[in-house]
Amino acid sequence: MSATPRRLSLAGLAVAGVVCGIAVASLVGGGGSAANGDETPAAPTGASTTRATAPSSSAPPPVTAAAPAGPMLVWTTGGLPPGFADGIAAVPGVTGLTVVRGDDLDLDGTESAAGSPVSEVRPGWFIPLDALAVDLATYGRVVPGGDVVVAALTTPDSAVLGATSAELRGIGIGGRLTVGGAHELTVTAVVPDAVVAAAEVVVSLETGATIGVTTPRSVLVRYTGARSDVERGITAHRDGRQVRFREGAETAYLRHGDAVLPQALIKQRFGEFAARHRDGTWLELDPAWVAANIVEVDLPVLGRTRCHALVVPMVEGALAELANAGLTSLVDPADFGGCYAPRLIGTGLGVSRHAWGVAIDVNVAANPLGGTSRQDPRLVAVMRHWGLAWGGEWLRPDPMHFEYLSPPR
Amino acid sequence: MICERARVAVSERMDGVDAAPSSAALEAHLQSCGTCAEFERLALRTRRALRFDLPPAPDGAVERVIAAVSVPPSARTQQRSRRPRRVVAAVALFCTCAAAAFVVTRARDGVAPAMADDRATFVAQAQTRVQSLQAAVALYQRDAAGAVGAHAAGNLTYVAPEGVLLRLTGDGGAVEIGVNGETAWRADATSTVIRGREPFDAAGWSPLDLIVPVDAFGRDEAGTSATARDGHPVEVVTTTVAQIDELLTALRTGQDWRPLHPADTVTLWLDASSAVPRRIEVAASPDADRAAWAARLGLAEPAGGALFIAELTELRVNEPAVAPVSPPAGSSTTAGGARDLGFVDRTVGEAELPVPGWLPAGMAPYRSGERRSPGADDAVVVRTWTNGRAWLKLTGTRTWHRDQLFGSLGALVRPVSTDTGVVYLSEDGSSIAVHGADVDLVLTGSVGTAELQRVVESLGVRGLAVPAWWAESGSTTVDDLQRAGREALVPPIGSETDGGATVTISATDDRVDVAIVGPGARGARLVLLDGLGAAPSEDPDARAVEVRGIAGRYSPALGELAWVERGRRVVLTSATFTAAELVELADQLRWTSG
Repeated sequence: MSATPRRLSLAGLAVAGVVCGIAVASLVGGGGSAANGDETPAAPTGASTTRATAPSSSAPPPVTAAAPAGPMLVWTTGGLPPGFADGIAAVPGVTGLTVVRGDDLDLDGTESAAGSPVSEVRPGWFIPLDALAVDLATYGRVVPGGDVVVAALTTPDSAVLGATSAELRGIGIGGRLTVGGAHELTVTAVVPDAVVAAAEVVVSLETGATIGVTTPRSVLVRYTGARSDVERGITAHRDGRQVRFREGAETAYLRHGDAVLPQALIKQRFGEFAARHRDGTWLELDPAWVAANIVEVDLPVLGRTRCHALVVPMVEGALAELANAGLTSLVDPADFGGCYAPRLIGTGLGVSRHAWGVAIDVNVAANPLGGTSRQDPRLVAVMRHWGLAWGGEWLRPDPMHFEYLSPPR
Repeated sequence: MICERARVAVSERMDGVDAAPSSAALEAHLQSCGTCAEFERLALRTRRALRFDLPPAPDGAVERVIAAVSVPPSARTQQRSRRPRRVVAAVALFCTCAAAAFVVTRARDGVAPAMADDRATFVAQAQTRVQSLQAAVALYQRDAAGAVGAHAAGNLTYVAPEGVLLRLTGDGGAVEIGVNGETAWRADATSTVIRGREPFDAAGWSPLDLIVPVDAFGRDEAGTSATARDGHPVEVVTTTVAQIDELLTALRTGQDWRPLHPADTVTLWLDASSAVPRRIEVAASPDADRAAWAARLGLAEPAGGALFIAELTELRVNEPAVAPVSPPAGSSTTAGGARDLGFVDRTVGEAELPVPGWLPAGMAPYRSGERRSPGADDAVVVRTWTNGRAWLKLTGTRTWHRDQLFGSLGALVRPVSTDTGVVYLSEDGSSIAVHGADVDLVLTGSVGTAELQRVVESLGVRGLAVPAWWAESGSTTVDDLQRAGREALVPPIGSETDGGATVTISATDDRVDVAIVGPGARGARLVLLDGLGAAPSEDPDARAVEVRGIAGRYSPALGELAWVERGRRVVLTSATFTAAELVELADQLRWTSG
């Protein structure tokens, strides 16, 4: 990373001091239980203490976080339709809303607050970064704890990291990220994952517009009255899109694509790689990461394939359970779509979980993306038991697809 | 509108229910939600497919059935009001069963000293009294349009200990399913015969619960109610489909049967002497998730009344001259083929398999032999004993070399210290494994866990703890967790009754698994994952619920209740408990320490 003027660092540190004060003031004393990142130790009930620090020397001390009571999440596939948010604002009962934008950024490198390089990616390569851009005028009023995020993003080119992201980056407040080859962001706060829907980095709308985080993904809505009435009112503005509504404990993170683990948590469990584009679909991944994580295995029923080493026991367990139950006929080995595939998601939603080797596609021809499922429910049940989420009930169904969600349960 | 409500509304609209939500709200949802729109399309298609014409029922049969199953409103109210008690009973299942097992363990007299009218004692004693049976069978079910009609009829024959023949004729044609010793068969349009069947082999179709429902009620300490039906003394039992799953699966064979929900209410009239089911009625559970399930399948479920009825008439128990059951002539050479499961009947010597010094009263030697499975490299021998429908089976090998317990007891087993060392109980207590110095054994059977344990202890084999690298080495007890200071959420069983057969625990560095097994197929699984918060939701119909005073989530499609407590993700899953039962069960859990 090139030498950088330190003015932003100083500004960032100044803001950081303010943010820490605000964070403690606004988060202490909140009621309810803490919402936690998937891999983030949860707080004891009632105590609601959640770690909000990065592991670098500049990390702030632990803060006490209030649990978000939860606004209602509204999201659609392929981004929000034009005018959708304005339509929602006019729905009777809606008292406030904020639009959240999201796109993947290309991370080129990071520096600590002291200016030392922490990570650097070779020219032409990048690390995919799950980024959100929030509206500073409304986010704090709708999202519990969101005022901390807003206060931290008032300076141009400032950025907030989710706790898991800070852990992955190895940087904290005052640290810097270079994205898109030229833009430098300064970390002004590290917050619990739940406050930022486990995003890796959050910026303001204005900063987002300069670095390419512009696609409106979801709306977070405050309302009064019956939820069903509000949902009905919102649905009228959907413009042909399919809409999903979530609130409170119905899901772990109030963000688009809420049925899967956010990218930060996938990285936390399975590692982070640098990549470069081969074409518009396929990526070339860091060979060292591939060598350390992707293994070639001979799976029961399905045959030879490449997968992430940590997922192999789960897939093997699921297939063995099918075999023990006499259900191997539910999987057609001739119609196996594979596991490891370093590519982007076709719908512009970033890097596929297949790039981590943590997803498999089975009975592909009979279960096309966006089509009706023809998977046997017993197959789905066994996969889920082994911690593999099924895409058949996603907003845009992907019934061939199973991906890592949790340890077996 | 959430998806679950929308699907109920779709179904109600198909049924013309007046109370269905406004069509505008439903239409709005269907336009915005492709999954529900697809559901509506499939439901319409399913509904059309199910609208078949029933053949004429015997004169007056349908009317008699409907009249017999009509429940007066007052009774329905009473039934609903009893549900909380049943929920509590389900939640307290492990307490009562464990306590009962504890008492039985110490009684060591072969007869459970339980209440005279408890279900476990009733069926356990009755199974030894049934040597043969013949009955006419009539089966009725409610079709998709809501009408109850005759669906199949035939006869049932039983010759102890495991000869069963069920012949049914109905809309789906004629079907015959039979078992007799080493042979099992199924004959409908084609015939398939199994040879080399092991005694009491579940894989070889062994529907003994159809005769006396021991698997369903053998660990159920709830009471029965004596009355009379058609002049015969009977004991009435009310339960759920989940608990008599095996019985219903055996009975509902070879035809186009409507699905039943695990929470559906079942009433059985069991013959007071033999415990043979004279009549079974299934009614829809009033549970909200059950309504959503029916809506997903496009089923019409008018309130009240039976969904499925089985009647056994002309019942003759232990009458002489019942012919042994046998496959249809020529079936062994039919196109369906004969499959050899590899069991060979022969005498098994004491050097191969130890002989128990004690057996329950009346048990006599039955078949013995050797398992010769293709590809298997362990020499496995089997010896069995029976008394009427009751049975015991000892399986063993002296060449076991795998890093897990012999006998396929499942991932979760429970170690129990006995006078002859450590033995391992299966989740439901119906099997006990022994890892000896030079022999590995499994004893299973239709008798109680206490009797199984007494037989095992009389084998003269010292049970060793499994090596640390075996899968079962994480098996533990509530007491051991407590002693080790391991914080875990467990069912409310006191340490003194941890000898029960209903809770099985495995603990590793970062997780604790608990199996909670009730009568029949009733049960739940609890998983604690250390250091993990809430997971994203897979179920579009997931809803927030309060559990243990914490915001949690119930996912109907997964039968899963999940929440985060003391830094752990807690997942409680059941295919047979309703959401309300799971929440109540969760509320009963306690921490081992802290």
